[in-house]
Amino acid sequence: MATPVWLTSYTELSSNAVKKPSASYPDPPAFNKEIILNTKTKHGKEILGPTPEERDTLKVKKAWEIALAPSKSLPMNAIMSYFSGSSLQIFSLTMTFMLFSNPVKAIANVGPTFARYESDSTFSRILQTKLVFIALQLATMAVGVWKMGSMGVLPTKRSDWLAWESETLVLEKGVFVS
Amino acid sequence: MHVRALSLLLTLVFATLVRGLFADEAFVVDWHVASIGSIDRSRAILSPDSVAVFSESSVLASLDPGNGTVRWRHFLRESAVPRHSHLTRLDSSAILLAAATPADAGVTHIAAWVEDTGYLVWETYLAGGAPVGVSVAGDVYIMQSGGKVRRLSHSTGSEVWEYSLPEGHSPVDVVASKRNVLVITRKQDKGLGYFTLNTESGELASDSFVVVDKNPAAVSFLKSEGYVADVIAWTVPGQTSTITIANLSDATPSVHTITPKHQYASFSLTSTSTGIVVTITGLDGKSWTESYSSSRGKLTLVGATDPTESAIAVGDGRLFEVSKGSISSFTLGSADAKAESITEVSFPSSPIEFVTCSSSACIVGHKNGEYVFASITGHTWTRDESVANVVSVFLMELEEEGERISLGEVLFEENAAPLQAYIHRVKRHWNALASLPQYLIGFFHRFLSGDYDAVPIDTNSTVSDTFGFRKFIVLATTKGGLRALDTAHGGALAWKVDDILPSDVIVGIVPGDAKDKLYVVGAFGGVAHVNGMTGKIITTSKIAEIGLGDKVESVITFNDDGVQYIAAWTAHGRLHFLSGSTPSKPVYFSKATEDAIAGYIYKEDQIIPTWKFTLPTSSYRITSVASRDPDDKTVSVGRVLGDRSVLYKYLNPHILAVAAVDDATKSAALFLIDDVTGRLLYSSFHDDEVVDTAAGVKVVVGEHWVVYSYWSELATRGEKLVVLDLYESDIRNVRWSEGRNFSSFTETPLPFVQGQAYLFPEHITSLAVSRSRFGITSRDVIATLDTAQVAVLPKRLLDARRPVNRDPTNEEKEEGLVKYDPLSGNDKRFILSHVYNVIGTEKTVCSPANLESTVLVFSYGLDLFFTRITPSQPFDLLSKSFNKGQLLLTIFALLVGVRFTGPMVRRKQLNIRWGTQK
Repeated sequence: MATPVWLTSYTELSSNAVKKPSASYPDPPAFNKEIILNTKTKHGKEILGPTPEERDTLKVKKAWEIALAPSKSLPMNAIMSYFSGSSLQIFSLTMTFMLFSNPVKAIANVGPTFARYESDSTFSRILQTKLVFIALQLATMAVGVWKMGSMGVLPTKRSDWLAWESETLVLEKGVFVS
Repeated sequence: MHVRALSLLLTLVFATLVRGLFADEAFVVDWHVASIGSIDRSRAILSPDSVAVFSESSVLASLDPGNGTVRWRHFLRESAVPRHSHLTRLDSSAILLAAATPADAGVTHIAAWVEDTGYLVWETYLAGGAPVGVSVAGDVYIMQSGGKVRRLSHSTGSEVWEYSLPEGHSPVDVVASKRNVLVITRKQDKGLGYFTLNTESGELASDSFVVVDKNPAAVSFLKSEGYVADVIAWTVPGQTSTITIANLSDATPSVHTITPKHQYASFSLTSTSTGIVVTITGLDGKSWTESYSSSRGKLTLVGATDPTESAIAVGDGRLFEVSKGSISSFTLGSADAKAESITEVSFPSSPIEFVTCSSSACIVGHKNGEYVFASITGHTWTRDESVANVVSVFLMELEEEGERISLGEVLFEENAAPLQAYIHRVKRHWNALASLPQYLIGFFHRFLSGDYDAVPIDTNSTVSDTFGFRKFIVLATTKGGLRALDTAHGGALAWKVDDILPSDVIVGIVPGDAKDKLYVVGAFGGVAHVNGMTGKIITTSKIAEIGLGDKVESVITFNDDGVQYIAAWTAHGRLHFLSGSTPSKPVYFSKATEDAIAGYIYKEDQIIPTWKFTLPTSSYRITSVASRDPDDKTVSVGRVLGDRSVLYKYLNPHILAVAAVDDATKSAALFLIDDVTGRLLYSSFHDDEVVDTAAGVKVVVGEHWVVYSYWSELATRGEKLVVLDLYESDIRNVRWSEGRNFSSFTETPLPFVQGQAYLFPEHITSLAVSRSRFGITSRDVIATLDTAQVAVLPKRLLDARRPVNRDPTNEEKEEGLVKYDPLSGNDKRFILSHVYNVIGTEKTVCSPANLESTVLVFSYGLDLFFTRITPSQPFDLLSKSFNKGQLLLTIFALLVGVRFTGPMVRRKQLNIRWGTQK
């Protein structure tokens, strides 16, 4: 049985397969068949794509952008934390929760986040960006800790440990005869 | 640890200032027993339609002859001394009470009261001594110990005339008739005699002092109760075979000496229309009467009854004979007459102390404090007044609720052959089914009403309710008996024992080593071991080693290293252990006397005096000493301040708070001493005060604080309540006792004391501290007031740290402090006793319920008052208004909703997946 044309054009990626009856329909505007099919221009000069080094630099640059993104929201978080006060309200509680949950999620997803930029050649540089990213997330959490501290829910004071202090053992037995 | 943290949270959350008793709780959670106190023959007036008494507890009362309930009563502690009082009938509708005033024995208070209502007709205060004799003949004639005889108007009490006895005469009595007034006196050299006064003018009718007995020692004076003849009789001390009787109604008194059949111990006199009847009790305890007719100046014996074991009394022309099971009445004067009526009455088995009768009924006073009213028609009632004379109290916990299965049954089922054990078990369960309907009824009742008190508990059972509100209050009385009252049934009598320690006086009652056992200890060394559930005496014994002339002063119970010891402390400073073992470790005892506190050490079975704390000057005397309840538990060792730092509590269990007054300078002082070493920890003097030293200083020790109160006459006049909070240090977060064992012998820093005074407008008669089961609930101070009320003063209000003259800062607000107000305690919502008139309460005991939030409070003295309080709100109990029905309906509606919407949602989601629905 002869292979249908549509099956060939789906399955075969060779240039022959792509070649279609040109008369059937025009190419889309700005489609340069030659660039796709040949690496050489009419003038015989090779069109150069980005080199691998350039590509890596681009990737690392992009990774740095992602890594430094939390630092932009950090001042806003700090200011909001400061102004939302130390009272235990639903707003400040939710905010504090976000200050912890978002960084934790971000840190947990640090691999997938940077996976796109990762390659063997950029491994060490991407690692730096990852560490900076994690450090900034930790800084966000630090804002959360500070916020909790200002709300008084951190056991930093003597009274927070009072329940664990036990009574002094009394050595003598005194009895008052009433 | 979690419990502790949780408890702190709970305390903070639930400790609110808004308190008070709810209207639907009044009369449900509390009860009150109105008492009158002990009465005797001379202070009870019985007539066919009324009973009026003036008791040893200064209560003037009128009882309903129908059922013995109190129609009205007046607590006359401030105006009448029972020992120097005369209660007589003024006319058919009013009674008259004359008595010395407590403040000044030289002043007599005399008042007329309407018998039906208790309204005051008139009252007057007379200088000139305590009343010696009172006689009513139209107007009132009163003789006072200072030698004054006065006639007072019958209707207004105003003085008509006054007569002073001549020099050398001491007053004996006054007898008034329509014609004249006989003033009976005793003169040193002449003997017993009388003057006759003119009724109208109060002047001597004749100058002569008529001598009726030359023996100046004649005492034991008795006036006739009669209405016709003015007959007096007297005896000579040591003379038990003759009685001298004088009839003063004749122009010249006729003096007779009669010789009763047997030697006598006591006698009483009644006059009849024809003569007199002498009721005599012999030396052997038997009683008889002798009737004499009086004519032409002669007294002739006309009849006598046979001496009988029964008690006899004469009332309005009748003779009553009271035996164990009946009361018989005779016509007076006919010696050998048959009883007119015999009424069967079951009297208590306790010996009869007195009988007093009207023409148709008698009141029989028994030694155990029960007064039985018995009319000849057979109508009887009993008032148990022994509960008005309480020596010692113990609130006994009852058995746990649950399946009644004995240990024996469990062992049988575990060890018997399987088939037998199975049959036994099935049988047991079958029998238990019998109580299922009652359980179900109770369950639904409780479920629907939310009222746990509404659940009927069998009055005869000894099972506690779920929340431990039901306990037995075991009272040891001065009448020698025990009474157990059921807290859940309005103070109903659960059991009673009379004469538990024969020929002994009960000193105290303490819990024994087993949960349901009690020790009752008497002054002369008698010890009874009683089952507290049933009142059955298990064993009685006697402390053998008790020395001659020594007696038990108090009974103590203490726990050391998990062993419960029970010991009796004697007047000679000896200690006798009643429980088998004696402590192996040294134990330090301290005992207060009038002017000092003495310390002792008990080691190697010997008690050795160690230290003595004496008051600064000899004019000081100790009025009250308090130590912390050894069962009081501490949950948190510090107090959390607003900035979350900690002030550590000074939790020395050896603190003894000694309150003293100085009668000379009218000042008060408080000393905190260590009861092991006698070291003075703190002292405060109120030298610039004018203290009511007779009322004394009342003091209690709470967890780490002391509250004491005294009545101050200085402006602002009132009861001053002083609170002292003790901390380890004034520096926050400093705890010197950390990681150390506490010993009184090491040089520990003195406590840092913060004090504050509050003002209370009423006289406080006693203070007590509430104690919850685990010590999580905050504490209340309970005060009994002389306004016949019981009040609660939250310790949160009596706080030394409240900011004075300024609003609290934010930090102080977080600490729960409110601005200082000296009258904080003066809030009517703090009155626990609401409409009850709780008179004469002298002490309060608190006992924890099973619920942590609830404390049972019992005040006693004269009246009994019981209630329960929730110092930190009932946080562990659903309120009655909680709508269970609504909750259930909501849950049900949700279930139905889920049942129907669940499939719908599932179907919809499935359709979306298949794309058949958008």
